[in-house]
Amino acid sequence: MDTTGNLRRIRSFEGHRIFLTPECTDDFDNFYRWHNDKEIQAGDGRTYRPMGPEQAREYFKAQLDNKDFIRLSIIMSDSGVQAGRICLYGIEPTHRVASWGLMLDKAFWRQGIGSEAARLVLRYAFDDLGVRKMQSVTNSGNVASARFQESLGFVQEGCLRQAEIINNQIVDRLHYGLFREEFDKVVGKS
Amino acid sequence: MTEEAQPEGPFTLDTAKNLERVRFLEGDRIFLTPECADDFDVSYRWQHDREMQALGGVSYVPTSPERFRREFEDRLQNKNVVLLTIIMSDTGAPAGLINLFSIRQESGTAEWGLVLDQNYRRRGIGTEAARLLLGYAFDTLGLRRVTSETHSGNEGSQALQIRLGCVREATLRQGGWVNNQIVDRIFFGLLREEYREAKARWSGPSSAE
Repeated sequence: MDTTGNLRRIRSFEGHRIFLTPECTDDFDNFYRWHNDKEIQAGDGRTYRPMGPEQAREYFKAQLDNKDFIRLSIIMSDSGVQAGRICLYGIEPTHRVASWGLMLDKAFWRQGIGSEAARLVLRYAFDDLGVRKMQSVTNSGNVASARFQESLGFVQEGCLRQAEIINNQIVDRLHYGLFREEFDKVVGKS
Repeated sequence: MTEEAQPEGPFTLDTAKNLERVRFLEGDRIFLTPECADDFDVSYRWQHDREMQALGGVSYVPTSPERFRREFEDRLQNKNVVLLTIIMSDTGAPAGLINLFSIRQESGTAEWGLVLDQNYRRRGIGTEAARLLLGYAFDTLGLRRVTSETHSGNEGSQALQIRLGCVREATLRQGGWVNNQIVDRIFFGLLREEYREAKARWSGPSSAE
């Protein structure tokens, strides 16, 4: 797959090793692959349901069309390879709380790519969108995700016991929250 | 619309015919019946009861009857929810709504929620309705767990959940907005074993509250 074309895409947010660009139909192949990857889906806390290309294409298009979501592709600045996707959604106009989610290709796990992408998006949410608090959900089966949330300053706010069955295991659903001030304390003001 | 022709006041409507409705779950003072088109008027009134909406943790949004009718009908068509109207067994007056939703058989979980008309709060009606619904969720559907959500501005609901044996599992700090105030979102969970223990306590030989 020729990924160098990705290097010409708009750079909405630029990090050290990556940049974030609005997700578009060119990203479908990866979406399709990740959606049918049991391990990635489990990390995301979803029940694994194989999906054919037609159905997936429709689903992907619906995601891109949804105006409540800001969806970004994580592109490696050196190769143009798409490392993952990150999104911001559910921005509440009254009390300025928002949610976010991240998915990374397995080839890019444990290299700090997710952290770089998350910091760019969190900074954007707090500084540009006036978000006061970010929230996210993970599950007790995904220890790496819990660690990751905590490394960004997220505080565990609750544990819904035995709320999910993922890969044939009953796991707890964990709620995390991060106020702007908590984020500033952890990452330092930019 | 002919609603102006109807008398003022909450339940001076002809509620007696509610007594003929299907009794899906029956308690001592109330029964639960599937929400239906007959509930439109009371539903519309509740939608515009600002305090009731705030207790339920939703924003108060004035809605035209036409638009509300569309939303109401869509809601009744939704297959993945059990929507029940709480009817007083003596008068037929609708006392509130209780729902089971996000029912996921594959994980054995669901969420539930309850709203009561202001005339029927603090009388144990909510407790009675909730016990009936939980019985359905655990004993009939065989669910493993149910989740319910309230907020820091609704102490009555928190007390009810605790009375039922639900466990407070999450407090999302400043996660909600109700009546111009930031509130914490509070989640309660009840596991099947906990339900069984609670049920043994409340349905003892005397079963008196």
